[in-house]
Amino acid sequence: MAKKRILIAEDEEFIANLYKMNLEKRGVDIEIAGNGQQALAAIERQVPDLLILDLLMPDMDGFQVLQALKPKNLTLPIVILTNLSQDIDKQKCQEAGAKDFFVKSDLTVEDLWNKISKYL
Amino acid sequence: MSTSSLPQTGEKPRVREWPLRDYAHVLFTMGSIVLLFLFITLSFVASQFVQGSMDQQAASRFEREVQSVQRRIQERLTAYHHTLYSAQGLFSASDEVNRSEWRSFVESLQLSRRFPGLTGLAYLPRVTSGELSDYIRTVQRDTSITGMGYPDFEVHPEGERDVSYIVTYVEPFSGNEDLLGLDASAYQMPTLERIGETGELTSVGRFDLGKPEAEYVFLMPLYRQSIALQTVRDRRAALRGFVAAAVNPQAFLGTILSEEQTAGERYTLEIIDGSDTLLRSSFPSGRMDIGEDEEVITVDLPIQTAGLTWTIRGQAPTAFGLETGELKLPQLVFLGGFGFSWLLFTVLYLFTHSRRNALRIAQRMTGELGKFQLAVRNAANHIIITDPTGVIVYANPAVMRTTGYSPEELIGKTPRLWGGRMNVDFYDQMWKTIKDRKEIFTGEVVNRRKTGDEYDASISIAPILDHQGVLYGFVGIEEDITDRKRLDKAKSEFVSLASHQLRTPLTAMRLTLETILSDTELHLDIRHTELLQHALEYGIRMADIIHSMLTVSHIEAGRVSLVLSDINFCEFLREVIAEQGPVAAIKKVGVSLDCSGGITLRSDAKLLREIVANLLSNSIKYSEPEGKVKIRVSSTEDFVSISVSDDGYGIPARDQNRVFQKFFRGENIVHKSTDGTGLGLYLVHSLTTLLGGNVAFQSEENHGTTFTVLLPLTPPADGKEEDSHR
Repeated sequence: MAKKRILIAEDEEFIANLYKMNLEKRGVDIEIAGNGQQALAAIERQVPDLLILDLLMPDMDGFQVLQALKPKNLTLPIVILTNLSQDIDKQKCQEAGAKDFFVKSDLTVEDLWNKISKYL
Repeated sequence: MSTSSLPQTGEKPRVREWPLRDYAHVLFTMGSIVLLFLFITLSFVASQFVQGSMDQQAASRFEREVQSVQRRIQERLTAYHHTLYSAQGLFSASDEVNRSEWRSFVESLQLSRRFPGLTGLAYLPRVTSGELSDYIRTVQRDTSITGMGYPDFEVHPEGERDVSYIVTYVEPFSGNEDLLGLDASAYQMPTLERIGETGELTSVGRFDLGKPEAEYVFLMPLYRQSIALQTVRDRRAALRGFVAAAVNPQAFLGTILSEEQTAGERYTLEIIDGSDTLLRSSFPSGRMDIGEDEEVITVDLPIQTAGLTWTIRGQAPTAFGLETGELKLPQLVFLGGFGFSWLLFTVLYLFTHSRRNALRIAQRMTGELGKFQLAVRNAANHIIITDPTGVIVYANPAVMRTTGYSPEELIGKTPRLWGGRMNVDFYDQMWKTIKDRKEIFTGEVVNRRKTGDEYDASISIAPILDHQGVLYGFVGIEEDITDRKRLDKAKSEFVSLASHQLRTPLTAMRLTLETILSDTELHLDIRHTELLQHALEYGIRMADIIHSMLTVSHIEAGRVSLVLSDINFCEFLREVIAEQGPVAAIKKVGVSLDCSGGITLRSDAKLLREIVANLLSNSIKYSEPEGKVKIRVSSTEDFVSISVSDDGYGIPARDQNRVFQKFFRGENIVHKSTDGTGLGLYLVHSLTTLLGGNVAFQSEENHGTTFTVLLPLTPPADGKEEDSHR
């Protein structure tokens, strides 16, 4: 069986690479997109098995990505990994189709893996 | 938005009373008293007047009574006279009337039946001294009635008289025998001559005629036919005798008075001739006579006939002819008047009194109303009052600042003029609250000013109900919260951004440390590993602090909205305990859970987790190593209670009243641990309240603490349904 592919949309390259490094140890392929547009382009090329989406990103933020993906009616599961934590943000993401909402600073990689593996 | 019951009507605000200047009160009171005395006096006068008029009525009634008696006596006397006129007529018809004819004449009159009291009619011819012996012989031989005549007839009294008027015929003869031969001239010559000269029927007075009582004698002169009777001389020359009538006054008057009968009335009648009382009768017979000290009506009426003057005197009590009821009329009038006066006085007095009270109340109310009106008018908040259909009946000047319309522009309109811009559900909810449930509605709306600008407003609308709960209308208060909203938004954005900016480097640090620690190829020695482990723990604590601060900020901004779901409570607790497992393991603190049965709680799982996790982490944190933490759950029909107990440091008694304050940390643990923000229990308290529950604790320093949270099994109103993740 081919490796699962996860697309991480994260503007902080250092952080994105740390996630990539730690998650790939668990046997998945990680692709990184530096902003919303890159993420949409990557999905356009090949729909991944999971999208981990940051919210605050330059050029095109996570909310806009959600809005852009919504009409496509993809089966792609999307989880939000961000450092925003207000109810309003969570609510907006949920309404736009996100499956889960995690606060980056509150999770270890282990925690994250435990929570996302069910989507793979 | 939330609803709450109406506040109870509190004590009436005390308003200083203004002094009452009411001189009219004094005037009315004095007037009432004056009227009281005036009316009592009038009652007395009226009763006297009634008494007077009754007396007068009685007197005139009695006078009529006496008059009727007087009339009957007069009539009877006139009837007696007529017998003499008849006799005069008899003598005029023929020159000679013999004894037999006289008897027939008198018998035809039926004296005893038709003329009671008339005891006899006599004929007294004129006899001169020269004719006397012939006269006596003629009488002695008169056999027209008795065969033997009157052999013993003689004239008496004895004496020489030029002219005699001798009783020759007298009928009825029985009882009058002694009168035969009586010469009247012996007693009454001058009177007889005078009667002869006048030609009038005349009473000559009362005489002892040898009968049981003295009798009145009436004389009628007889004249010779041939001579014209023009002058006194003519009459003197023509006088040939008299006819006489004798009347027994007692018999005559007695028959008249015996006919007298006025039912039930007490009175006396007296017939007086000069100083002699002829007859005195009391009525009704057998009843007590009029007393001497009694007040009486006295009526004196004259009876005059044939030179005779009698007086008829009637005496009766002043109440003559009055009914028993009528007698009390004057007293009744007085009593009635007196009673009426008091009644009038009472009514006037009460009127005056209640008028004063009414004035005082009116003044007080006017004063209070004025003050309330001023207060509402000068209030800083926009206040409107509408009728039950929402039409504005009052608006205070502050409406100008919020809506841009003047109060005058609003009256008669509805709040749709500047509002009505929310969705239909909102207004449905509002009307249901204020009109159907009659509760206060509060909410936030976006309205539009007269200028067209939109603004945020906080509104509260309360139904105005009377004591019976009848709806009079609504009072609406609106506050422009546009600026506050803008400020809140800015603050929230700042907090959000700041926390994001703090979390990003923290994330990088944590991930870095985790990456290094999990990299088995690095072969770190134990000392480096410990250092990195500590660095990671501090990173985690910093994340916790940021989390708590953000949560507090959200709660305080009122931005936390409940997301309700059904929670299997025991399962839920096990999860939370498991999350804290590593921390407890490090300190070797044993955590036990006593939770059985399927308790299902409908609540906000995330907030509930926050509450339990905080309490559990505190218990572990403030326990001695190898301490014991116990979690117990119990439930009733409506509530579930979770208690978290430890046998740790406890909270000093002096600190216990500050436990739920923000940034509180017990004095005893500040020295033991630098770990802790002082936000945990503040959060527990705020979140528990938010979930409709409450939290309490028991603690003793060095013996441990028990926190107990009581939560409703069903959620408080106003929550959002959600089944998915958090």
